[in-house]
Amino acid sequence: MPTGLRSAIMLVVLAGAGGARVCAQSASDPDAVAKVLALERLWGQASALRDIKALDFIFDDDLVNLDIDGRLMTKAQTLADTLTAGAVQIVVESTSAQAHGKTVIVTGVLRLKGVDAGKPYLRHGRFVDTWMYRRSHWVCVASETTPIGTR
Amino acid sequence: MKALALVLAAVCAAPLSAAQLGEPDSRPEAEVRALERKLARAQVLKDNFALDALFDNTLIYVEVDGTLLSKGDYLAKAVRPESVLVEVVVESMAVHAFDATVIVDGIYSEKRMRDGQVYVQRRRSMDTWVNEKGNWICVAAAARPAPR
Repeated sequence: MPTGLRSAIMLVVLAGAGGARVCAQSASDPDAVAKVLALERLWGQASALRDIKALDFIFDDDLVNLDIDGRLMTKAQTLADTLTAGAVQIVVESTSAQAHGKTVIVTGVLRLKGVDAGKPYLRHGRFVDTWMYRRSHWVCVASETTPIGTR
Repeated sequence: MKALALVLAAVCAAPLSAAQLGEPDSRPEAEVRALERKLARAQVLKDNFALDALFDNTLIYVEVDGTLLSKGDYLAKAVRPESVLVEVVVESMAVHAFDATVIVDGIYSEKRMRDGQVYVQRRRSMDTWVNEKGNWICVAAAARPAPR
């Protein structure tokens, strides 16, 4: 199923900024968490628009992306998947972020709704994204999504 | 003499080390690999003292079914008697170093004993380690089912 996490044409419906929980532990940048959460939203919008230039800016060159289907992808593969995957609606239900110096961990729950080979599907997953401050801006270095309810 | 020449040729032909090529120091990768092995041992031994030291207090732990656990939740669950982790076998481990953060992507199988039955399940995991004051500590760990 071509449901690369946020790497498809998608409509991102954020569950409201009030749903975000923020915990800054020891960030050298006091706005780190806010900036990263803004980039998370930008990620969704860029995917919806297939804005490869924006995604190229958001992802570190050495991105490690393990999507909800268990596909381990590089940055190049993730960008290629964005261009080729089918339409999917993503609803981010909640997010929280923790800062550890120049690293921010974002976790949240999302729902993926789309059609694959003419059949509708609905997926539910929990994601963990790792962001780092590198070369003067925040970039996502790793992303993992675990399907909820599967053992 | 011929043998010596062959040895010298082999040495000269050996690829340059990472340091010679100016690549990043491999120490973080080696340290985190060792900590991953320590983590697996501690899980099997239910060594909560060791687990407590390896995990950051703000740990984000995503179980294989997507359940989110805090460090406290995880440590409490680790010592529960109903499901005994007998063995963890690491099949593969790829370590990606990003300055003071290391991402570990791995595949492992775990053997559990439950109600007198042995279950073997294959998992894929992604762990995030950060270096805080010279020590590597796991701040996030997520697992998911892996295909057989």
